[in-house]
Order: sequence, then C-alpha cells, then structure tokens
Amino acid sequence: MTAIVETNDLTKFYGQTRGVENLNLAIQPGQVFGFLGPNGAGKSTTFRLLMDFIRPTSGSARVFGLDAQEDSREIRSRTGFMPGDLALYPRMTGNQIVEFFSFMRKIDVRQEAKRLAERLDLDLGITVRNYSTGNRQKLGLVQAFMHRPELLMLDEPTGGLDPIIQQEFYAMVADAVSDGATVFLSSHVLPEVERIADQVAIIRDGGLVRVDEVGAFRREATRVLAFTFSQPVPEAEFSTLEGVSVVTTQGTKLIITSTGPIDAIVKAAARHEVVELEAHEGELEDVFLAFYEDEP
Amino acid sequence: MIRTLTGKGIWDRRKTLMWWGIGMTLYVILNVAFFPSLKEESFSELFESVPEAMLAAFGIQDIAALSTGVGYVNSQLYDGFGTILVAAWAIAIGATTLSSEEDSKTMDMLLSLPVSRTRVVLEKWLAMVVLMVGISAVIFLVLVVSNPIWELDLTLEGMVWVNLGLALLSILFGTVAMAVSAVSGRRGLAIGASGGLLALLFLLYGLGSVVDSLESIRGTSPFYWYLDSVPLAGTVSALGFLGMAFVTLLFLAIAVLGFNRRDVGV
Ligand SMILES: Nc1ncnc2c1ncn2[C@@H]1O[C@H](COP(=O)(O)OP(=O)(O)OP(=O)(O)O)[C@@H](O)[C@H]1O
Ligand SMILES: [Mg+2]
Repeated sequence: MTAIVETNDLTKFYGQTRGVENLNLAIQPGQVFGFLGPNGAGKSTTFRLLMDFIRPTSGSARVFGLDAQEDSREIRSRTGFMPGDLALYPRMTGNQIVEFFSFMRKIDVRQEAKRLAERLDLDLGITVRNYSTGNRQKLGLVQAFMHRPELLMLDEPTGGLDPIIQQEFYAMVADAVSDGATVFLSSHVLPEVERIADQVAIIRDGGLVRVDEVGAFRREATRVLAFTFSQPVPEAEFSTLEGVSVVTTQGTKLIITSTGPIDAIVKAAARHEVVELEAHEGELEDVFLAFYEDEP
Repeated sequence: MIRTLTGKGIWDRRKTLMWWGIGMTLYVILNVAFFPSLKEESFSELFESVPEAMLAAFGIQDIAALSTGVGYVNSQLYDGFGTILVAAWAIAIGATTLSSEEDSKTMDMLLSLPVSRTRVVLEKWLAMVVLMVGISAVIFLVLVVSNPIWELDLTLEGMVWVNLGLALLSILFGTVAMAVSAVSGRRGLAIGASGGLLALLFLLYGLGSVVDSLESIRGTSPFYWYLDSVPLAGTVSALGFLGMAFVTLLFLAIAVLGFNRRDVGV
C-alpha cells in the first residue's frame, strides 16, 4: 500500500532561516494524521511544500505516489486545502467564490457547497470582507471539502470556530474518512487531535520529535494511583517499579505517580490488604507539553 | 458570473476601467476641442520662445505640423502624455496582478486549485491585454466622434492604426512590469523598474530627434517603433508594430518561466 503523503528528508531553508529539516513523514490511506508543534516549528512550511507553493532546498515529497512538484496539478485536483493563513478574495461573496472555484476545478460543486454551508450554519450570500473571522474560516472549510477530495490538508482548521461548529467539523472529518478520504491536519488544540486523529506527529524546530498512535501517547500519560492499605506499607516496594516517579506516604495511604505499566503496581499492591483505591487519569496534554518544552 | 481567471481579472477592474474610460474621454475632448481656435493662430508664434529640446521632450517635433489635425492630436495624445498615461495603467496592472495576490495571501488559495502557474500568468496577462485594448478602443471611439465636430481631418485608417499601436505599446510595458514581478515577487521593484524604463524610453525617443548624440540609439525605443512612421496619418511601420509584439512575447515568456521557478508568497 503506497502512502498518501510521503516525504523523504524534506528540507526547506528560507535563506538562513530553517523551515523544516530532514522531515520524513508517511501518511497511510484513510488515516487522520495530526500534526502538532509549537509556533514556528514548520507545520505550515510542510503543507506549503506539499502544495508546491514553495520548493524544497533538498529532499522530496510525494502525494498519492506522485511527485509533489512535477505532478502538482493532479495532486491539487485531488486535494482539498485550507491554508493556515486563510485569505479569500475580499470582494467576492461566498457564492461567487464557490462558483469561481467550481469552474476552476471543472466540476460543479455548488450543491455540495450549499450542503456544507448549511451544516456549518454559514450564509454564502455575504461578501467575504463582511464575514466574521469564524465565518470566513467556515468558508475556508467549505471550499476545502466541497469537491469531496481524496486528501484533505488542513492547516489549523478550527481556529476561530465556536465549540458547536468545531463539533460539526469533527463530524465532517469523520464523514470524509468514512467516504475513503485521508486527512492531514495541524493543530495547537490537543484535545482536538486526541479526539479525531489516529496518528500524531510532533514537530519541533523543523524536525519530527515523535510519530505514534494517539493511544500510545495516552498510555504514557501520567497516572496517579492512591492506595489506602489496612496498615502502612514500605514505599520501597513501589518506587523501584518501572515508570514510577514519585511515591509519597500519608499514614496508611500511598500515592504513586507513574507513567509506566499499571499492572506491576496493582500486583505489588495486591500483596497487602487494600482498603481503598483512587485512580486519576493523567492529562494527555502533559505528554505533549513535554515534547514542546525545550530540553534542559 | 466569474468563470475564469481572465474574467476575474477584468471583473475586478471593471470600475477602474470605467474611471479610466471617463478620464481619457475628458482628456481627449479637452485637447481636441481647442484645435479649431488654436489652428487659427500661428503655433509658431505661440511656441516662439520655447527651446526646441523642451518641445521635443514633450513630443512636439515640428511646430508647423501642429496646425494639422494629425500633428496636433499626435503631439497632445499619442506622442505625449496620453500614451504615457495608458502605459502607466498597464504597468500598474502588470506589476500588481501577481504580487498583490501574494501579499494578501490569496495566491495560496488560487494555487491550491488545479491550475498550472503558467496558466495563472497567461490568464492574468490576457486580462491586462483586454483592458488595454478596451481603453484604446474607448479613445478610438471618442476620436471618431470628435473628428467631424472639431474638424480634425483624421482618417479612419489612421485612427485605427494609432490606437492599435497604443494598445501594443502599453501591453508591452505592462508585460515588462509583470515579468519583473513574476521573477522577483516584488511589486515596488516592478513598478519602479518598468516606470523608469517607460520615462527613459519616452525621453530617448523625444530628445533623440534633437540631440545628436542620442540620434543613433533613438531607434531602440519602442516609442520610435510605434510613432516614428506617424501611424495617425495611416503610415504604419509593420516592422515597428511586430517589434512591439515580439518584445512583449519575449517578456511574457520571462514572466511564465520566472513565476514557475520560484517560491510563491514568501
Ligand atoms: N516566508 C518565510 N520567510 C522566512 N522565514 C519563514 C517564512 N515562512 C516561515 N518561515 C520560518 O520558518 C519557520 C517555520 O515556520 P512555519 O510557518 O512553517 O511554522 P508553523 O509550525 O506553521 O508555526 P505556527 O504554529 O505559528 O503556524 C519559522 O521559523 C518561520 O519564521
Ligand atoms: Mg502555521
């Protein structure tokens, strides 16, 4: 199975400024691939390279198995794109933009655009200049989805959308995927990625820090387990277990903070009489933030 | 309904075209309306004290010719500021049609559609061509109507040729501006370089007729190719007109290649 998006040591320098460096990505068909990273990490640069707006300094990229530069026109006909820095023609109405893009794409997407606009509660009869930020963003989504593309590349698609519309957007992504589309989206909103992405890539300083399934990150989230025993137990029995970072004792209560497998802790605790157990699922956010932060 | 990039390029400037049309109409009428009264007086007396080089720079090469309709209209419009104005508009369009979309970031949206960059350049260029032909046609029509009213004695043939030449010359400068912006992505540079070139080549053509040292290189100015044969009199230089078209296509090719090669919107 060929990857829908594949980059090989993709590198882009703007003069001396690093955009991305030696980026190796592979996005499989049907995936929702989340792209996370701090400001200036290189997310938009990656999208703009894949769309052939800018050319790599070295390395290469393929989309649908086609060369991102040579076959860009075919790639773009099969892709829906939402730029991070969204700008639509200010003097045209939503309908005029839909119509113009229809003719440029040589397929009549007006019906589908109307359906999507209704879904997002967007009035297409308004001039772009007069849209609110969120409504302009909705129009950006409508134009990305309206030709039912095989690949959606969405650079921070939910900025400016209210929570209800965000939910609708998640549903649109799910529908697109069930229709066979692949989705590559960047975000700063961690719960969003956790919610809709299968695979997550974390990019920092122009390079990938880690690529994994969302589940794998979730398993690493710090958990806090608080056991109350019938009598005090030695901390040492737990502090040496894999992944355990902190153990504190409050009388007969033992509080364990761990990122490791929960099984070993439970088995160790079972050697004593457990009166009560509280467990707190840690924030996935902490896992991601750990990657965001600069190394000490 | 906007269906093509060319259509959009024209639609976006429909009001500008209207204002340029009104402006040029007034400019032409204001000039030719004085012809009957000025014809009565002697132009030689009027310009007696003005140095020859100064007159030449303003497109007046032969004072005696001013008393004819052809000579007068030429000096006021085609050999003078009329042409400069139209060419300046062409430069304004050529310099901004790509770069303003890059600056406002709508270029990312446009290029996300399945269009080649070559087609983007060609369609935007075509819109500029249509607008230049449009404004030249307006001037042509105003002249056709003015001709009998103010006894200009212009031939239809002459009016056709001179306005066709006007369109060709302005398209040439618009294309130069577009090439500079396509290669560099810089709107200021495009306006400055092609505007400067326009002024330089206009002066070269005008002053070349009186300044001996410029005489030999005067033939390199597109204004010379356009005007030296006096197309308004019906005597058109086929080579000159073809020369303008050829140089235009050359710069169009540079625009296409330049825009295909570089990073967009950086
Ligand atoms: N046109 C440009 N010219 C010069 N440097 C640029 C340009 N575009 C991006 N950069 C630089 O490249 C790096 C990556 O930028 P990029 O826009 O790809 O980041 P990002 O991950 O999209 O950030 P954000 O989350 O803020 O959108 C940054 O250091 C940025 O300053
Ligand atoms: Mg960005």
